[in-house]
Amino acid sequence: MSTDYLKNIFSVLIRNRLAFAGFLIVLSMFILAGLASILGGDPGAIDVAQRLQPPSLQHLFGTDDLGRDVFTRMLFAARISLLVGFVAVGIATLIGVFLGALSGYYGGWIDSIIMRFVDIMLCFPSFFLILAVIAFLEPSIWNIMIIIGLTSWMGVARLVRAEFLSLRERDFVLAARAVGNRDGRVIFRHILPNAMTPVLVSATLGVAGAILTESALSFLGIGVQPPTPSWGNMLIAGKQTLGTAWWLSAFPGLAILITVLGYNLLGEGVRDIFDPRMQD
Amino acid sequence: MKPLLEIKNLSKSFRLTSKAPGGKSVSLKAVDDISFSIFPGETLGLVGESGCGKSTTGKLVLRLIEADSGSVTFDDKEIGKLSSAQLRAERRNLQMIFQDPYSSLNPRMRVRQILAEPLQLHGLDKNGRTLQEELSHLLETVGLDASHLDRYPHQFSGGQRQRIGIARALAVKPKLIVADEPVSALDVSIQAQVINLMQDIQQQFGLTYLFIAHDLAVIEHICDRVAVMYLGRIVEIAPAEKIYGSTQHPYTEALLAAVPRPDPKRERTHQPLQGEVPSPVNPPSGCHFHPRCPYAQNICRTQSPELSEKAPKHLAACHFSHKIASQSRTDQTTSQ
Repeated sequence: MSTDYLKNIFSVLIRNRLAFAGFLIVLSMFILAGLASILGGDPGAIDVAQRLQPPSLQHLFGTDDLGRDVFTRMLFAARISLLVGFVAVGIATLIGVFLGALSGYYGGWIDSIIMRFVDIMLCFPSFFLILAVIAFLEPSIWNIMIIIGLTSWMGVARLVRAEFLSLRERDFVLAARAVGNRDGRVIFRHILPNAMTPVLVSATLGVAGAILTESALSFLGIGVQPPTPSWGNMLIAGKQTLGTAWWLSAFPGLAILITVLGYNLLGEGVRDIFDPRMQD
Repeated sequence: MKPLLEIKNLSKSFRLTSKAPGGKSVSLKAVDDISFSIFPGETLGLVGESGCGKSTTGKLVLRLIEADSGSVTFDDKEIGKLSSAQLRAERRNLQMIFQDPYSSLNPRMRVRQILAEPLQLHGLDKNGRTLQEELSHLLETVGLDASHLDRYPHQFSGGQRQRIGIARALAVKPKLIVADEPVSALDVSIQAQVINLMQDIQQQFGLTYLFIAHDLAVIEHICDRVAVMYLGRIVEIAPAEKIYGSTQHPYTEALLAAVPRPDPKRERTHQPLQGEVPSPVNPPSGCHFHPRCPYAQNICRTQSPELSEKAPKHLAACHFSHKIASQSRTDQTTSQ
């Protein structure tokens, strides 16, 4: 056995370990969010006598300026983050897959129109677009999810289009038409399942992006509105007392960091697993 | 007898556009004014080098691509004039077998789904027999086992995959099957098996074939008539024994000479063709074959020969076909 061979196995293991770590992080976030009401209590329970307590056994992550338990609030905020992440990415993926598929399958002027629309959407700095839209609409959590979704589908559309451009030349697509399939069935039943790998990778990475965007919006006060807890608005709430009560901002910040890292590691891992060049 | 498939003056060009800014677009004539017909129960072979337009012709017959001009009449219906719903219904009678068994089966579908789909699309899954029985029967017809139904295409060998492709075409009991080089991607030992299978099912189901191939050796065993294509045009069309016995076109002659014969005593009498196939974007004037033709005269450079009847049922497009016919006859007598 050559040392190159061993090195190769080692590097694959490292890659998979990171992906595995990402998977564990994502999984534990799900469990924590799911068990929020069991592990924590009432996220809105105010106890002024206990305000600004440092981390202790009673209050794992301390309490805030109203005496609410930071750990409990973070558990409920995890629900918000996951919800925002998945719904926003779901919307973006649906739009992106649909437009990308039409664009790649039909080509010609349909492709030109859709791709120019993608270019136009990419021209707007999406964060400012979101800010502008939120200024008109009520900043509710559902509005946030929809707007993040509506402004982040362009990458998926391009990915799916590229996949379709190569897949539509394959004989099985011709065979599907020759057998008597409608275009809709050819696109969604025959080609799309073969184009899902990159979509899956981009969706996993997209969840991380959506969570970050939601945190940023909440940090600016136009995202999830208090008293509903979100990691972003907890972060900003701790700003005034940062000098005396560091735990108010530090723990939500860490939670954002770890969660985003987890999704990114998992996404990279999924890409490696599906990439045949990585499997030698 | 009335032909099952009649093709008249069919043409198809593709536009090639240069990606560079201000690049010119040129047109490539893939199929140039071809006409032929196929009779029920017959196998017509369509032969030619790569890029001569034979696969395009196959796709035009099934209207998988749209023709520029000309007509395809199948069973008294003009395929080019059918609405998309009518065309989908008509696909029940017109099926295709593909060249590459590795790309013609959807890698994400099980054999069961691949074979059940045509039946379901055409409402043939409710005729007394259960779908399961129908599918097992199909697989047995093409020499596979019913236990293969729940496997994915990548679990099969090339020959087995081609059998699945044949089963898919056969599922709807079509009248005409366009076979686009069905064996050229297979091992030589498998080629004969697949050809035999195609002959068996032709007899069993009364099929008509348009059999596309790039060499005459494969076609010899299965075809009743053979059409030879060169640069988008049909240069010769005749019953198989006449093509092999007394060809009337120098291109066919060259193709025949290129067929390897396992006979160590046979001496090589023919010169192989000189040069390459000219670009179809800018084909030679007159007869497209003249730059490579050993018989070419001045007239060949200016006038394109018509496809006309040189002998009974034997059409060729050559100004000097009588020379070739006489020469190949003398060749035969000397070799005997």
